[in-house]
Amino acid sequence: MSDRPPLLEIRGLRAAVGDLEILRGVDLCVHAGEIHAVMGRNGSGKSTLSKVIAGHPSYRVTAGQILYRGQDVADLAPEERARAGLFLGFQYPVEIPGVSNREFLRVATNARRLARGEEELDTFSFDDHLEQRLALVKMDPSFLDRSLNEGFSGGEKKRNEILQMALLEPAVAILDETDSGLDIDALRIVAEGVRQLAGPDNATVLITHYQRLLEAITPQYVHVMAHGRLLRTGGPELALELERRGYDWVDAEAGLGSREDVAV
Amino acid sequence: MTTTRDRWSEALTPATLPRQARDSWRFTDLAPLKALDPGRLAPRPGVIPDLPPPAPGVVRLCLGPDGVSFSPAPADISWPAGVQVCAVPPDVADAPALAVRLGALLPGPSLGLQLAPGARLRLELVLQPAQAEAALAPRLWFDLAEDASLELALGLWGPADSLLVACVGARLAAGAELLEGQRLQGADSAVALVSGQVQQAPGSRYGRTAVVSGWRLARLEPQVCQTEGQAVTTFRDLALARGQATIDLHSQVRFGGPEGRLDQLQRALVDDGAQSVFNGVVQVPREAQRTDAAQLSRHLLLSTRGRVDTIPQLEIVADDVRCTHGATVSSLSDDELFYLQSRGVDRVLACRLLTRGFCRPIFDDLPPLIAAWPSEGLLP
Repeated sequence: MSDRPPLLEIRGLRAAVGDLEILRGVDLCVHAGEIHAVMGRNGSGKSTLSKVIAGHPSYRVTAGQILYRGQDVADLAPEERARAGLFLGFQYPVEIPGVSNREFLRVATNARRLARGEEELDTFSFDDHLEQRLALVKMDPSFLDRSLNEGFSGGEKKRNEILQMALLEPAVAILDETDSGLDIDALRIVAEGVRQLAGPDNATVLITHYQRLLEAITPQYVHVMAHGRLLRTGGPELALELERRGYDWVDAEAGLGSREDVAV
Repeated sequence: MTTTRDRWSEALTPATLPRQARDSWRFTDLAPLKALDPGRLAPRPGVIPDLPPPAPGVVRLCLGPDGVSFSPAPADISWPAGVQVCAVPPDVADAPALAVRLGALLPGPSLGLQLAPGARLRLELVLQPAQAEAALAPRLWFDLAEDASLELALGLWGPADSLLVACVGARLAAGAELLEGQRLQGADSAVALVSGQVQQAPGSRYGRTAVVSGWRLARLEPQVCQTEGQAVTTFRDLALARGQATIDLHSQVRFGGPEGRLDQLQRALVDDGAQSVFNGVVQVPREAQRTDAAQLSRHLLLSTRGRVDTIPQLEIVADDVRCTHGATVSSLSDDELFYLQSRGVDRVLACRLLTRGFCRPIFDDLPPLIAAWPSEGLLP
């Protein structure tokens, strides 16, 4: 791994929703220029990890640290984390009737720009800026004038997520099952967008079940999550092995029972 | 000699006011109306509204300096072809709507217009008293002949401790269309009672969109009768209830014949200790076969102290109809808030975006004339 300090470092993170502990000691270190993949079964805690990092209020951090650029952000509001450069691409982007997609994108972009010490964009400048980013995800501009995600297909919602990522230029993007609900063409477009946005100064964490996204975006590190922990880390070949053998062998190697034995 | 002030005092007696026990007033506290001092209520001169100049071809009338007439006087206006001033039919003093009963006892301003077959009119009525403790009782009547068309923008403002009693009546002949936008803004001590009575002949269209904001008590009672069915009625209502306001919509649509249509959407945003009441009556008697009516009431409750009473009331006797209704009361969604916050939008702004989003469908349906009026101060 890089000698540079990590952009994101998770240390012994434990988190619960209500009394149910879901994350049971997660450690993860992400440097600039890296792409990580977190794989695991349904219910292994992958999405919870992404939401806890983004600050979802339903989850309570009970132990550990979320260090972003060396500072613990566990007590920051979600908007403060986002402005600082953490981005969560939602598995199920929320539909918000009555809120214009274009207006939302402008407000979000300007919030991030202000946090970076840049000037807010007025409506016209923003539209120019937006047009450039639209091309990246090959999104129909008519979706900008609709309500946020309302009535969008699964593919359009995911493109809209990547469009937001392109506008916000996060330092760390965590993409939660961005490949779910996408047909082959949409997956190719979304993956191409993610690949173009990945650079030496930022990092991407892909959360996925399947190898197919990783065929389009090759990660340097693949982590296997089970029972609320990252049990194993390897290179891209680990994803291929998981595709071939499933997840039970990871449990066995880690000395844990299969998913039937542990409810998360 | 009886003065205008005396007439207001006489109108607001216990004998005139409805009893709280009556079903239609069960959820509506009349205390704000009773708290007004009739002896201090008086017509107040109108102010020149802070609105953009009327578009070409649009007639705009405002509240006159005497507070009981329009300015300019309707008789002095060069109306478009086929439009002429007429008398306002007398109100019925024992009508069920309180606004009608009180309106029958009180002075104007009043305006009656007849539109000849095929006539077109775009009309703005802006009634904004200049002072507190204003008494304002507009009575409006529109008689639209075959294929006539009227777009009406009605703005009613209520300064502090004021009472507004407004009656809007219309008769639509076959093929006629009335597109009405209402905007009611009142101080948090003002009271508004607004009734509407519209008769629709087959083939006519009536669309009414109202936005109500402020007031201590605002009660709207729009009533439509599709005399022989086969007409189209659209209601859009938005109540922005904050502070201690009670905003109360009692609508009634009666289908007197077959194949009538109703599309009704009521939304209310309730904050602080405010209250929203919705009672939507839809009457579909046996002769109203193949009626197609949809009614939806949606409330967004922003405070634990707020109160919502929503009563869809479908009275259906005909057996071959499509009538739907729904009523929801919800608060801001945590998932929606988190989604916006996760993009850097702070919680306060996120709440504002969501509440505005809730209101947006009604604003989007405002008729063009009233939609062009500035909306600052209306939206949260």
